[in-house]
Amino acid sequence: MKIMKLTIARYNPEQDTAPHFEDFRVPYDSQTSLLSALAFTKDTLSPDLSFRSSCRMAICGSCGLTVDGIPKLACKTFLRDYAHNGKMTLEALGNFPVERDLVVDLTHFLECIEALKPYIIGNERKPADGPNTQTPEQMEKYHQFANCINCGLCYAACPQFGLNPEFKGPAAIALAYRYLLDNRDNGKKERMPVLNGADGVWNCTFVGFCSDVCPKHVDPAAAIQQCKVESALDFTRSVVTCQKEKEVR
Amino acid sequence: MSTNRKPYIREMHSNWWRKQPFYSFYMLRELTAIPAVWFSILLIYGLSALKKGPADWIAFVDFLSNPIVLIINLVAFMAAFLHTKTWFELAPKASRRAKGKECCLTIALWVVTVIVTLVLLFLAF
Repeated sequence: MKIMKLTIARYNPEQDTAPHFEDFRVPYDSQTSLLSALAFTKDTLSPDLSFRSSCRMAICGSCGLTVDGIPKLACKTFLRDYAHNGKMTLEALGNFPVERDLVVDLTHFLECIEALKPYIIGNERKPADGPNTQTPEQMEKYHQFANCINCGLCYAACPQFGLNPEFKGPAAIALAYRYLLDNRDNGKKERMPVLNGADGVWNCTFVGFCSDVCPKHVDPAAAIQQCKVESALDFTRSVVTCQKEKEVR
Repeated sequence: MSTNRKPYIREMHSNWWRKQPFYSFYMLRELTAIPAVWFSILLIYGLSALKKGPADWIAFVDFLSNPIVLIINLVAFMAAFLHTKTWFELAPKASRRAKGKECCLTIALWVVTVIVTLVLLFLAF
């Protein structure tokens, strides 16, 4: 088996004032994922190493971290792809506070998602009415944006979120757009003020790295640009409506 | 109840854009706005010279012939080309209807650009 050098940013809040790097040498073959390598490190080299994981198959979004400066899911990253370097530098997910080693505090990320109400609003159907069927075309409109697993990689890749943490960010806006496109939803009036607001879509300068790192090909950059179009139309509508109101008066 | 939590907040330094080639290219893309400002001012200066009379116009043409101005204009042209290329590649993302037809929209934008450029060149000469 080959050997990979993992340089991991360690941070123990009870002892350290700032993260520091520690080297570990782990064996790997063509099928070793980074998550397996981290588990090996914890089991045999450093039992106090902290990292999050759950499903091992890019579904839960727990194991996000930074590999050589690029946000990745540990379970979807394979050591064989870094064989040419012989080393990997691992840090906690960027733009989030580090709790310990590779674990970050995602509270603010979850608050961003919560602020945009990612659930069906204003649908009065009851279970007795039966399933709310959709045509394949209706589902196709939003399906891509519904693939988000809330891993936070896009937030770590977004320099605008890093510079202004109040920005609602790629995943939250992509989720909001997913519901705007859903024909069962009637919550546009509740979401648009947040999307139009000071921390909404207009903070995005279309860097595009969020879509590049997304492990589920959600393309949040596209969602944000399309939300900008919606926001501009919403503004135009509001201007026209105000004018009409004035005319009535 | 006490806690030993002490989350470490990493600072974002002003050189963040140098840490990844993707960010560096993004900054280069944004930087193309500066040569565009230069060329806009140059055009306004040219229009002003055209209005003032033949002597001013000849002075403007002489100014354009200056090797330094030629080099700056060449840089401005390359910057405009890079900006156009990146913008046309990103434009399909802003349209839901372009999904699955991204290449067609980018090609269509280039075709329109080439036609408009040729028509303008034909009118100019």
